[in-house]
Amino acid sequence: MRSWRGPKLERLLIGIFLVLLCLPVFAQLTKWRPGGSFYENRPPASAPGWPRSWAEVERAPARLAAAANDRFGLRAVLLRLNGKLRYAAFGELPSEQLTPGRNGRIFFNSHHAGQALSLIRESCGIGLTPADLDQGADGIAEMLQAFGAVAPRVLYMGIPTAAVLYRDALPAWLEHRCATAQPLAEALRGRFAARWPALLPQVVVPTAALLEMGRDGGDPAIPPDNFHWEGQAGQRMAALAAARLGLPALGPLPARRVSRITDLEQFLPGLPFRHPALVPDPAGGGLEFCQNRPCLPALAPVQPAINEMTVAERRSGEGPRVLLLSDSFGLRMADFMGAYAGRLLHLNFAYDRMTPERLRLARRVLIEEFRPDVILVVQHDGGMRGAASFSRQLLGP
Amino acid sequence: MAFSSIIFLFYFLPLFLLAYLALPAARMWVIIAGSVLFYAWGEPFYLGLLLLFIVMNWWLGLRLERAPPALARALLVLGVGANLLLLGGFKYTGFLLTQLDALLRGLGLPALPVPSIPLPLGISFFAFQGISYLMDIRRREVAAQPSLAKFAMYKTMFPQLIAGPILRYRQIAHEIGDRRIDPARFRLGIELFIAGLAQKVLIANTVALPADQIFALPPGSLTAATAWLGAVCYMVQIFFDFSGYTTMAIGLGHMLGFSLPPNFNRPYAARSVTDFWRRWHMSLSSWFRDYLYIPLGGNRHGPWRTYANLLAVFALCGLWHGAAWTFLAWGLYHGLFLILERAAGHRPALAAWGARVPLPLRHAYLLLVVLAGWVLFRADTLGHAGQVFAAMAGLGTGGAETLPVAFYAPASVWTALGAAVLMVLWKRDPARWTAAAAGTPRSERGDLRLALRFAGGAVLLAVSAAVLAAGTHNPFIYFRF
Repeated sequence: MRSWRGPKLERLLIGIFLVLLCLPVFAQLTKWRPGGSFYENRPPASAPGWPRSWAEVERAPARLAAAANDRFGLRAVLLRLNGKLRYAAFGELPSEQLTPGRNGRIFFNSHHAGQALSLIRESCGIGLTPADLDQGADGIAEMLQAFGAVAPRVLYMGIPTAAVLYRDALPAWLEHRCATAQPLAEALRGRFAARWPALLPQVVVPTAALLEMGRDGGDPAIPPDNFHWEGQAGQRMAALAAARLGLPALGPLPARRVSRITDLEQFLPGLPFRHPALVPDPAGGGLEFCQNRPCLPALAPVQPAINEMTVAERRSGEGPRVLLLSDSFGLRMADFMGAYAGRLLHLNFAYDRMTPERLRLARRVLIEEFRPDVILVVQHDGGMRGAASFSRQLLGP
Repeated sequence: MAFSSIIFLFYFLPLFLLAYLALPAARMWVIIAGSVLFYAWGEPFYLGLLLLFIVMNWWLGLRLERAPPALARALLVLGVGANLLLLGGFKYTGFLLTQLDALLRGLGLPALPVPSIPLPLGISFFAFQGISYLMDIRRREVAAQPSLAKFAMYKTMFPQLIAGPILRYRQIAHEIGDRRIDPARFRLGIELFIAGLAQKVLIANTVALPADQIFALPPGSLTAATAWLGAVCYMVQIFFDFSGYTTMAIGLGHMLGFSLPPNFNRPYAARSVTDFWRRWHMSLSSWFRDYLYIPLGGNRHGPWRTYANLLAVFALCGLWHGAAWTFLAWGLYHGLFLILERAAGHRPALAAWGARVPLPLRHAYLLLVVLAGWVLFRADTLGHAGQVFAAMAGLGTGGAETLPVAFYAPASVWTALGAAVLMVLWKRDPARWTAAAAGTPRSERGDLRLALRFAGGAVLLAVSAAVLAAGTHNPFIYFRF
């Protein structure tokens, strides 16, 4: 075997290649983490321990590979690089759960990987049968009746999402597809009106009000880079709900504009889109305000099953007790709903993490002890057909 | 462990290369240890089987070389039979039993238990390697390797262990004991490895997504446009996937000091099916030619015997790719076109007419034939293939759930398809990829070109790694609390 010799340039290039290959391991060993980290819908895989059986030996490579995939050094940098390059070169977004639309709008198309477009199909009402709509309408009625038994005033707000509000910004083929169906929120409201006319005043689908926003050059209800609506819409919808519930504003709630990063940030590594957002000044409005922290010690055991929580309390203590139950669309509304409440509790539960014990405790704290004067349920169109689960879970079947 | 995986690229490869360069006296053992780890990573259970067949082929090779003709013939039959038994036992038992079971059920007889037999990684490659090694010794074309360790290094060498090219012992016998691994050759290996990685990650993986989505659709929901898109994407995917992997293997071979044979020579630029098979998976087609077609008589016994030989070889070639009717049909389909082309060549009038057909039309003919073949190859069943063909012919109406081509093929897919076309058209000289070419002295300008090319390679490596990293990302929207 001949010896290793050659010009300096070749050696230099080989050295650079080896350094490039070794960089991730070096970064991992030295815990060097440029680019930060990302939340994901699962805990990162861990390296397996020393195998104690043949079965563990057989599983070890796959587990090691999974751990390497999740933990290799410079992963965040590479994810950001991929996001930037893909967007710059092709205008594409680095997740199948996002659909790039026209005019820079991004559509969150599915809550789960591997089900591309499922949310848009649901919001647009594609493929829904009359039986589906009847079932959804009956579910809303069941929920209103169940909550009506424990609170004097109940209101349900179903929120149309971006694919419905900004259909003309969808890619042409998807816009055409959506145009063939009636949006779910409106369709459900129509079926509800036919089947449960007496309860209709308790159902709000604010499509027109949301569409009106942004028409005169103001901020749209849902910023182009967001899945959720922003404070601007939250403020208006809080006022709309309060008016429908007969709740007067108990004082001014000042607000200011800030720049907020897209709520799709986790899907857009390397693409830090930002938009203007209206945020309240609860202190200026005479409110004690707590959000997305363990604000209610009594609910501490339920904490693992709480996605979002808001507690707003008027210092004077006067005003109705409002319980706002929602999916993730309730948060920005909760920011402003405190203007109409003596005490506001807002909860967005992860019902799949609820246990019977946690549900019992939540029921006791939120219904029996809080004794709400008003229950407001806010949900986006992707979940409207399952509205009954709010009451079924919290009050029991 | 695929070459285009994080665990290989950022863990196995750097550690292996550092050990290989740092331990010049133990390079053979580094290769063996690395290769055993590489194999065990995917198939710890079958590692013993691999080692057993290494010892068996090595021992039979030694005996065969020294045996008198009658015994040598018996040993060859034993060795080839054992390798075929290994291949057949693992790869085809389940398929044959399934067919038998279906037949028995059809006759109203009791069902047959069909065991699920996991396939050892790379079994088709190392069985064919074993057969060619023994046959080459029997033909006195190569001397048996006396050292078990060196033979084990040849058999296990990880760059070619699980996906080829099918490396015959005689092709690298001279490099087993005397390898030239100078910096120029190592650098060439790096360039080829990165080029192969980019082919696999940036082109094959990009078009694989629509191909997989479209072939997974219920056949009734296919339209002509989606069916064609799926077929074209798969045609590009399979070439750049396999060619990329082979290019990485050849690059790794150069880094270790081995000259692995080229496996592809712009097959989609061929002008006939016969030409295609001179350019596609060359290590396999030449293996079948040398160890099956020619021993069967080749074209030496008249046209009908030649046609029969071609059909037999291509039926087996199809089955080599997998135990399913679709693979058999794919092999027979190609064999049929080879026969038609050969028959046409034997008729002067037809041959003269064929020679007058403009080149673009000949390319179009080849591409259509190959494309239809890939539909057979990719489809789950022959029925599925028939439904895809029907959709391609415009008989698919689609359904309410059918999505348009724009959904499956965003800009990145069209870009990958465009890049694929350019690469197919780009005439490269395979001689540039040899160790001898790498060592040619360069001018200063040549140095600059080399440095720029390498910088481009580094960018491709980073982009490929970024795309690979994206495949590990699983984001979540409800992250606030």
